[in-house]
Formats: sequence, C-alpha cells, structure tokens
Amino acid sequence: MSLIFNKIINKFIRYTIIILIIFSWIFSGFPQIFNFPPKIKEAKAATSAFLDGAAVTIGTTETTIGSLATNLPAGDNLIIVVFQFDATQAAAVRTISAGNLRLKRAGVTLASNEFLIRADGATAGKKQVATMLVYRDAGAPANPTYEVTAQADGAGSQGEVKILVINNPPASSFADGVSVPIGTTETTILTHSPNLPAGDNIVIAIFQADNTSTAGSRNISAGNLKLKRGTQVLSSNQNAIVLEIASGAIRSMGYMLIARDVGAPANPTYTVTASASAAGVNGEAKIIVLQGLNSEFLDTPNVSIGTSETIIGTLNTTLPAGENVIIAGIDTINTVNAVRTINAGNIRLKTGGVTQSSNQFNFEYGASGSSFRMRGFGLLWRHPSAPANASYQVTALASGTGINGETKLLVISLAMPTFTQSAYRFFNNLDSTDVGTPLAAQDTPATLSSPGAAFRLRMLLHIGGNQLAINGQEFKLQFAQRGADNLCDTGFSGETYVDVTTSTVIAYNDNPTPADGVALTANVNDPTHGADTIVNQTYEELNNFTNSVAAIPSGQDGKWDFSLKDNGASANTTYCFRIVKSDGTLLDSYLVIPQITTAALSISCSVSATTTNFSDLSPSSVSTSSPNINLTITSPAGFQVTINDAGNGSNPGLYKSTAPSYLIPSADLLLTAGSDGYGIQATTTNPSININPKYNKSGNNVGGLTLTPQVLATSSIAVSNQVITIIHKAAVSFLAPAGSYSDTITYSCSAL
Amino acid sequence: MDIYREKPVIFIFLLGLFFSFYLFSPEYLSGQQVVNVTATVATSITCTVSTSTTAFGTIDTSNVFTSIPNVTTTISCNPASGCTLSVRDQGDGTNGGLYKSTSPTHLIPSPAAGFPPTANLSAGTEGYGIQAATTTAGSGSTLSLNPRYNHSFSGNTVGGLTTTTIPLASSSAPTANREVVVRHKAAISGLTLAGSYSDTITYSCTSN
Repeated sequence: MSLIFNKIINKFIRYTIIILIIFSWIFSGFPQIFNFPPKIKEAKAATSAFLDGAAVTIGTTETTIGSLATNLPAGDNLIIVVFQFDATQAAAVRTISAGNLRLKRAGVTLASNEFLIRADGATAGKKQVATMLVYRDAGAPANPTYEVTAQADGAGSQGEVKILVINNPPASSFADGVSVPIGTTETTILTHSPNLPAGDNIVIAIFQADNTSTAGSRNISAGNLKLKRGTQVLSSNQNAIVLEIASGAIRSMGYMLIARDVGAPANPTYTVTASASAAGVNGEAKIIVLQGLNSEFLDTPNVSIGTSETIIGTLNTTLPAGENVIIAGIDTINTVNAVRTINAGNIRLKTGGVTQSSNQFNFEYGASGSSFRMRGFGLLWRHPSAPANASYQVTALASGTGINGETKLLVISLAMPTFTQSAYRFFNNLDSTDVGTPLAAQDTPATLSSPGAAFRLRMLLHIGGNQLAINGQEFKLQFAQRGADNLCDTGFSGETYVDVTTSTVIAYNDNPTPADGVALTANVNDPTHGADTIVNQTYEELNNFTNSVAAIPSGQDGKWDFSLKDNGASANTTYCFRIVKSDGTLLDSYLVIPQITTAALSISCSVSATTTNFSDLSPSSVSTSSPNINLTITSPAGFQVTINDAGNGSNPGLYKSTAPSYLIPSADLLLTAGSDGYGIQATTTNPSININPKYNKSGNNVGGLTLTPQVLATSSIAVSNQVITIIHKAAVSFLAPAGSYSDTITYSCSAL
Repeated sequence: MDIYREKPVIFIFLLGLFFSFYLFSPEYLSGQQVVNVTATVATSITCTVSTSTTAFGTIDTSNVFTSIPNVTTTISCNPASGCTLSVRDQGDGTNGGLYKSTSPTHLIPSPAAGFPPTANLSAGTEGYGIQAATTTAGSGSTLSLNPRYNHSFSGNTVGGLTTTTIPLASSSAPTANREVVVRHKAAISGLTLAGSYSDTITYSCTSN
C-alpha cells in the first residue's frame, strides 16, 4: 500500500514539475527556440474553367445537365451558370420547381433557382426561357467538379448549361438573397457590403423575378431593375422585364446585370432594387463582387436585330495576352406584332470572326403585345490563350425584324501579373521604417563608408499585365558578388546569386525598433519609375516578402525597403542585388540591378619618422640618410604598398630647388662616390611580405624612385604590426651644386 | 556586456588607456604616408697635379727650352659660382723666375727682364714662363684660361710667373675633372751664370 502511495506521489511530482517547466517557459518571454520553416506562399494566379454543355433531356428525377470536372487548384472559386430551358420536345408546359435547378459540388447544392422555371412547348413564343446562377465556393478543394442538375415536373424538356469557374480571384465576395416582394416603388432586393479595399470592382448581379399574381401579367419597366452603389446606378435593365400571369409559362425570368465600378471606395455597399408595374412580383438576387483583375466592359444600347447577323456590341480590349473570361448579359425583346424566333446558335459570342459561345436552343418571342415577348439571357466563354488586345462581339440574327437586343459585355483578364525590377536607391540606415540620407542618386551604384556598415535599399517592382492582388506573390531578395565582367548586368552574366539571409556576407540587418514586414515610411528621396504611381509596401529584415500592404494595379510600382548590412564582406568589393519570386523564379524583366561596393580595406600604415636626412653629401662617398624609415603595417587581408617621390616634378630625385636648381637623379643603379645617384633599399623580416626586387637591394645598389607609384611590397595575407625598413642612399658628383636638396617620398597602403 | 555600467572604474581606465595610446602613439596614418628626405651637399673643391717636378735639363743659348714633363692640374669643384685655379711662383722670393740660389745667385726673370706680363722667349735672351691649355677631359663647366698664360705650346710666348697669386684658369659653375696643362719654357743668355736653377710653382683652387 505504501509502495503504491509512493508511486502516486512520485508520479504527481514528476508531472507537476514538467507542467511547471512548460508554463515557466511559455510565460518567461524566452525567445522561440525553433523557427519552423515559414509556409511558402504560392502566387495566387487566377485561372478559370469552362463548360459549354449540350442539350440534355431533363427527367422527372434529378438529371445532370452539365458537369465540369476542373483541374483547378484549391482556393476560392466563383461559379457562373447560364441555363437555357426548352420545352419543345415535350410539347407541353414543363416546370422546374424552385430549388430544382441546382449548382452542386460533391453532391452538395451550392446554389439553386429561387423561383420556378417554366416553358410551354406547345405555345409559340413560350417554348424557351433562361435563368442564371452564381456562387462563391470559398475554400474549394483542388480539382473540384461542378455540376448543374435539374428536375422537371414531366418528361421531355431539355436543358443546357454553360458553366464558368473563376479560380482564386485576388479578392471577391458573394451574397445570396432571398425572395422579396417587389413593390411598385423601388424595392431593395438585396444589399451586399463586401469587405474590400478601395479599387476597381466588377459586380455581377443575377436576378430572378416571378410573377405570382393571378390578376395579370407584370413587368419591370426598362431601367427599373437596378444595380447600385449608394444612389449611383451602375447597371439596369435595358428593356422591360415582362412576366406572364402566374398561370402562364413565362411567369419567371432570369436577368444578368453587370457593372464595372471603377474607383470604388473601400467596403462599398451594393444593392439590387426593382419596382414592378403592380403587386405580385417577387424578386431574388445573387451578387458577386471581384476585385484585382483587369477587365473591360461594354454596355450597349438596344440594337435592332436583323435577319442577317447583326452586331449588338463589340468590345475591343486593351488587355494583355493570356487567359480571358467573357461574360455577356443579353436581353432581347420583340417589338413587332408577330412571333419572332432567334434560332439556336444565332445569339453569338464571337472573337476573331469565330463563334465561341451561343444559345443552345431557339428563343421564341411572343408578339409585341404579349407578356412573353422578352427574354433575359447570357453567354459565357473562356478564352484560354487570348492575344493581346483581343476583340469580342455579341451578334444575333432573327427570323424576322423587330427584335431589339442589348448586351452587357464583360471581359476579365486572368493573365498573370508581370514583374519588372524597375528602380532602386541606396540610403543610410535608420532605426526606423524611414531611411537616412541617400548614398547615391537613384539607380546609381553606391559605396559604403565603412566596413560592416548598415544600409538600406529601396527597390521598385513594376507590375504589368494584371493587378497584383494584395499578398498576391511572395518574393525574396538575392545578392551576388559582381562578376569578372565588372557589370551588375540584367543578364546576370558572371554573377551567382544567393538569397540574402541574416548570416550572408551581405545580410539583412535587424534594426532594434522596426519589425520585419511592417509598412515602410515613404521618403522624399525614394526611387520613382517615370510617372508611375508607387504603392508603398513593407520594411524588410528577412526574406520572404510580399505586397502585404496593398494590391498593386497593373502599370504601377510596388516599393519595398530592405534593411541590409555588410556582414564581413570583402573590402572594396561590389555586390549586385535582384528580386526573384520566392520559389527562385526570375522576374519577367530587370531594368536595373542595384550594386553596392563595400568600404575599402582598413589598412593601417605608420612611419617611424617623417623626415630623414643625408646631412652632407660629398663626391667622395656614398651616403645613407638617417634615420632609416620603418613602415609598420597592419592589414586584415592582403595589401600592397606603393612608393613614389616628388623629385623636381618632372623627374625623380633629390632636388635643389634654389638657383642654380639641380636634381640628383634617382634610378636603379649601383651608387658610386662622385657620381650622382639616389634611391632606396627595402627589407623586411616577415617572409609573407614580398619586397619588389627593384628595391630588395643591398650594398650600394638602390632601386630608383619614380614620380608614379611603384609597388614597394605586397602581401597576400593579413599582417599585424609588420615592418618594412627603408634605407635611403645617395651619391653626388662635383656637378651637383653645393646647397640644400630635398625630396618627398609618399608611401601608399591599399588592399590588393 | 554593459561594462560602463557594471564596472565604471575599469571602463574609465580602459577609455583613458585608449586615448593615451591614441594621443601619444607615433603618427598613425592610413592610406598615404609622406617622408621628407633632406640633404646638404657640402662645398667641395679639389685640384691635383700630375707631377710635382719638371726639369729643363741642361739648357744653353742655342734654343728656347721646355721642361719635361708638362704639369697637368685636374680640377673639380661644386660651388654654384665655380672655382679658380691660381698660380704663384717662388722665384727669388721677390720676383718670379728660375733662381740660382747658390753664390753667386742669379735669377732668370719671368717672363723676361723687367717682368712684363708676357714675353716671347728667344734663344740667347733670358726669360722663363709658362703656357697653359685646357683639355676636353672632365665635365661640367669648362675652364677659362687667363689670357696671360693662354699661349700656344708651339710658340714661345709665355706668361710671367709672379710671387703673388695670379688666376690661371676658372670655371663659372661646378666642374668635374677638368684639366689645365702647363708647359714651362725658358731661355738663357750668354751672361747667365752656369749652375743649378730651380723654382717652386704653387697651384691652388678656390671657390669663386
């Protein structure tokens, strides 16, 4: 019993101690002991998938109309569906009840029709109708399959879908409304306030109306279905949305409103409103908002559709080459007192003269006085490899004149942003998100003033092609010692770049105050890139970095501030910098390559005396000046010492500057008494210091001095307080006039 | 370690040591060092003669005689203004000439009776003097001869020697190893006493 008790006590103590240690560590403020590798942030490149379905007979049980198996990466997907319903085969009224047109993923319904969808295959002008669905599938897995299913109340009807999926748009939001009774005054159908930064927004509102009135038809007059931001109408119906009496087939209608809200404020509020001709109409809307993608938009007036192909609208874009998605909202209405038909394939979305997307089934329109004379519709397409400045058209042709058509044509570029290293400037360091004084002009190499100096590099990346969404791409800074070609060239010839870390010879510098990744503080001396707008980003003390402050629209430049230092780099050595994507991929282009040169080597040289004197020179002897000069050198690396003298300014030697002037010339020679001559001998006891043989002489042999520097000694390794002794010798002839002579010898110590 | 907080005395000591070293160390330079070299070239004048004796041998009235060998003086000097080679004669102590100091004494006057500056010696007439010429040897400033002695060796015109110092040749600037060759000539008359004659000629170099 006692043994068991002791075990329990011991176990309790052990666990208590462990817990105490753990909690002590947690709350101690000790630094993190292991830095887990940061998650590599992949570039969020928007892409898309598209299905242009075929006619499918809709059964009375759930029938797949179309299935789009994508190979999209995981992320947020925006799905737009245009569904055309045709009851011709059934030759009877067929209805898809509310909720029975379904957009699904993995068996789960994402979106469905709010109201019934009905067509009358037996009555001219009522045989076809269309509706649309949209949904934002946030956090979708990779390779999702989206399917659209429908279930009718009887056999024989047909359906067809076009499904467009936009994967990982930089920013988006979605709202799905509920059925709202539409009054005869402006009624809000849906309000959506996306949490988005200010920018250019694309807004797509899918509207479905259903007339529940048994008293008669209803309509929403032209312009009375509105997509608004605040009081500003961004888009509206071109033609009246006409709805049959509740017992009629064409009692419900889908309609697509599209707007491009340029310069929208942050967190805008969008509303869909409508007013009907009389009570009984219910409305429902779904809104998606996209931001961060280049787009162009065309909202046309009504165009009379002829019996030959008629252009409703042409949108000549200036978008970059790459992937485009095209969304066309189309509304058509018959204005003549006769049934009109637009046959299958005759409402067309075209590019390059080729039809890319069209209506699967005929559209029949009742006569102008009927309540089934109007249709809302849409066409979708994905242009995977669009050329730059692609042009898109919506066209139509009808069985007879009298149909007016209108389109809202939206083209969204999903082209990847392009990145160009466009400008830079070096600054002195500050313990701040601001920088010190410039070290050099913009795009100009700089030199550090001292070994180990900290400095700042502010660099611009120009964004082309498409907007770089916030946090849209991770980058890293690399450096390389300049190659033998002495060029920090944009082709990187001769350079081997490596990532800048905190331990590389050019390293990130940890300033005490600012933290890595915080927003930089703009400086009046910051680099610019032409007239491009600069989008300030972050102060960086570590790789990687991204545009975490704000999105960078195409045509603008992001600016980053790198805190760096000479971390034991070679003296007087030039290093080049470049930004690459975090996976090491090069940017699309480099206009400039920053280069900085480390401070020259700190070599100390001292001389034992600054004068030496020959006293009396006589033709009778070779003289040695006194004292000899000891040159003491300390160098942390290889060095060289050079020597030159002043002579008479034209030639080296001992010079008598007073009249009559005279120069005892200096040359390599064996001095002899009675002959003019002057030079030096150099010696050292350090075997690692190599004395130039010219001066490594003894006896009366001397090396001649020169006006231009000559190498006196070199060393390939560091030395400390090593001495080179200089002996000065001279001889004179009788021709050297008596008097005072002098010379100035300059010793220069520098890095090899 | 915050030594200036924790060990203020040590810190102040080290600080003082540093500044002491810095302030009292030899000139500490990096980059360029300059050393001035100075020299004084002293005044130097040398004259050397090729021989200390020259002899006429036995002379008579039949010719004008030349002593053998000629005497060459080599001059080097470095004063900026040059230097001068001068000549002074012993003679009889009063006048220049070849002197028979044994009794009966006699002086062959230089250059001739009456001691004119120059004389053209002729056989049978007493006279004695020197001719001087320069060579191409040496360097530096050339020597200029005193006209008194600048006479052709092939002739018999000589300059008279005196017991006072007379310039023989001079340079106007430093000169090295320049040479002056002196030829001694003499003639006697029938009255010239037989016997041994001698003279001492002293050459000296001085700065101009």
